[in-house]
Amino acid sequence: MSTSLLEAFLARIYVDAQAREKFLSDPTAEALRAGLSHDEIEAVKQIDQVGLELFTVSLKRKRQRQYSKHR
Amino acid sequence: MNPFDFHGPEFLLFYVGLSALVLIGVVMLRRKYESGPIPRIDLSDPLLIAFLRGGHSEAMRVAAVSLIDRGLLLCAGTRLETASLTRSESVRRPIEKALLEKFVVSGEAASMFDDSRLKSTLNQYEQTLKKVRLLPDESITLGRTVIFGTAFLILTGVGLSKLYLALARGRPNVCFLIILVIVAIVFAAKQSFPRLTETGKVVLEGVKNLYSELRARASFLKPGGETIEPMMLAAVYGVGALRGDGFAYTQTLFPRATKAPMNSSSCGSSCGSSCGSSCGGGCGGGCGGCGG
Amino acid sequence: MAVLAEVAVEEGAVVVAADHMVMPKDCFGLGWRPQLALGILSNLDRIDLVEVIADDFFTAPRSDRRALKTLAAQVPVTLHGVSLGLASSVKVDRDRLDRTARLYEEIKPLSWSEHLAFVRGGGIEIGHLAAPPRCDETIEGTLKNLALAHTIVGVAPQVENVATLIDPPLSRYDEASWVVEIIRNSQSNLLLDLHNLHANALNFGFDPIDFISRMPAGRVRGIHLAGGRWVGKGNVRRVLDDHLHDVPDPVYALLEEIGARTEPGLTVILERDGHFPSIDSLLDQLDHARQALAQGRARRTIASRGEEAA
Repeated sequence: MSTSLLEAFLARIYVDAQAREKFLSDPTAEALRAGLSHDEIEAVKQIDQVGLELFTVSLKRKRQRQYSKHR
Repeated sequence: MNPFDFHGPEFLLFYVGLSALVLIGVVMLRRKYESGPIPRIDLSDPLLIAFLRGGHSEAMRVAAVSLIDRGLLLCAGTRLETASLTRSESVRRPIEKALLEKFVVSGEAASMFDDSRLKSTLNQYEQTLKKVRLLPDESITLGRTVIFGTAFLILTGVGLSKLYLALARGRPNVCFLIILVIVAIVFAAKQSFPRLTETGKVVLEGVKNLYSELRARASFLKPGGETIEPMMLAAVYGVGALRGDGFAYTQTLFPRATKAPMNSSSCGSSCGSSCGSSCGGGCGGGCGGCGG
Repeated sequence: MAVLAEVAVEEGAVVVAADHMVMPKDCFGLGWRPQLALGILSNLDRIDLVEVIADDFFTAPRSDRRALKTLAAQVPVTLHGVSLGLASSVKVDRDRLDRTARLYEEIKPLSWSEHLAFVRGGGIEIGHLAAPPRCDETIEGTLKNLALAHTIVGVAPQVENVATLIDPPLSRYDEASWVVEIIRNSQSNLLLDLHNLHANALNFGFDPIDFISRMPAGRVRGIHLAGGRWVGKGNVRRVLDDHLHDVPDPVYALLEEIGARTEPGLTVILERDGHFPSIDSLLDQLDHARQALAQGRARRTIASRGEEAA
C-alpha cells in the first residue's frame, strides 16, 4: 500500500491555487478524480483548512523568493 | 620521420607542439607535487589573506587602508601622515605600528613598498604561509627547479640542436626559431614558478568564494573602522573592491591597485545550486524554516 | 580522525553504528550562511562546528566545492539536506542520493542529516518541506528510503522532525509515535529540532516534554535551535518556524530537558536564515544553549547520584 497518490494530491493543492480552490469547493469530487482511496478521501474531506491556508501562504512567499533569487 | 630534417616552417610548428606538451607536463607535474590537504589557517586575519593574495605590497595596502579607516593615518592625495594624537602603541599589529612610525612625517604612500623595515614586519605571514605550503617552501622550490630544469633542457636541447643543424646546412634564417625558444622558456619558467603553490591557489579561490557575499555588499560597507568588513574585503579582493565615497581616496592613493581588474573567476556564488528546489530558503540561506 | 562508534539504544533495542563520528562532548555550532562568513570565521574559538546545506553544492561549480573544502579544513562541518524527501511512500530519487554520496565522500563531514518530510509528489516540487501523513505507509516508505540512503551514502543520516502549519490528513499516529517507529526500526538517529517541536506542540496542542520523554534518549544525537513567529487567520494563530528570529525561552527550556535525559556527545546547531543580528548576538544565543544543556546535565547527574544513594 502506498500513499503516493495522496502525497501527489497534497503537493498539487499546496502549490496550485486553482487546484486548491477546486478542492475546497468540492473535496470529494477532486479526491475521486485524483484516484484516492476511500480512507484518503475521508481524510482530505476533514483537512485542516486553516493550516492549509497558512501553509500555502507561507509556501507562496518562499517560492517567490526562490524564483527571484534564481532569475 | 626525423623532426630535425623538417624545413623551417614545419619545424617551427613541430617546436610549438613540443613546447605545448612540455608546458602541459610542467603544469601537471607541479600540480601533482604541490597538491595536498588544505591546511587550517586563520581565515579571519585580513593581513594573512592579503599576503596570500599579493605578498608584501598587498598586505601593506590593506594595513594602510585600515589605519586610514580608523582615523589613525591621514591621507591627502598620494601622501600619508600619522594623525597627530596617534601613538604607535595604540595598534597591535607590527605592520601597523611600523606604518604609523614611518609616516610621523608626511610622505608618499608609494615609499612604503620599498621600505625593508616595513617588509620585515610582514615576514611572519610569509613564514606562516610557507609552513603550511600555501607559498612555496624550500622543498617545493627545489622540486620546481628540477621540473623547470628538465623542461629547459628539452626545449633548449631541441631548439639549439636544430639551430646548429640549420646553420651547418647553410640556412641562416633562424631568428624565428630563436624567438620561439626564448618564448617557450619564458612560459615554462612562468608555469614552473607561480607565486602560490597549487594548494595556495585552491585556498585563495576558496576564500574569495567564502567571502563573496561581502563583495556583493561592497557598496553598503561603511567607512569608519567600526567593523573589519572593509579591511577583509580589501584583503580578499584588493583595495579596488572598496566602493562608495568613503573609500574614494584609495583610487588616488593606490592607482595601480584600484585599476587592476578583480579576478572574476573567484567570484563564486557561494551558493551554487538551487538549494531550495524543495526548501525555499535559497542558496546558502538555509532551509528557511522547516515545514512551516 | 573519524571513528565509527556504536551507540547502544535504550530498552534493549538494536545496537547501531549510526553516525560517521560521535563526538565525546556536546558541540555547539551555527548554520553556515554566506552573510555570516566573517563572523563565523572570526569566532571559531566559540564555534565547534558549522552545518552546511548540502543541496547548495550538488550542482555547484568546482570553485564552490573547493570553498566548502577550505571551510571544512578550518572547522568541522555537518551536511544538512533539504530535498531528498525521505519521509514518503515514494522511493527517494537515486540521482539525489548519488549526489549526496559524492559530496559526503568529498567533504568527509562529521555527519549528515535530512528531514522527515516529503517535498514532491506527482511530479510537482512543493518547494518546501511538508509533513507527510503519519501512517503505516509513510513509515514503511521512510524506512525503505533511509535504508537506501544508508547504502548509497555509506552512513545513515540523522533525521529531523519538521514543523508544520497543517496537520497532515490521514495521520493515524501522533507525531511522537510516528517518529519513534521510524527511529526504532532504522539505523538513523534523531536530529531533534526543538523549535519545530515547540511550534508543533503549540499549534496542535500536545506536551513537548511528553514528546521528548517518548524519544529513545540514546538515539537523540543532534539538536537544532531556531526561532519563529506567530501567523494567523481569523481566530486561529499558529507558530511559523521561519528561522528569522531569536531562539525563544521555551526552546532553551526544552534543551535543558534534553540535557537531563541524554548522554553527552550532542551536536547543537543554531539556525538563522535571515534578519541577521550581530554575530555577537548569535554567539550569545549559542552560549545560552550551552548553559541550558549544562543545567540539564547537572540535573541528570544530581538525580542519578540520588538514585545511587537510595
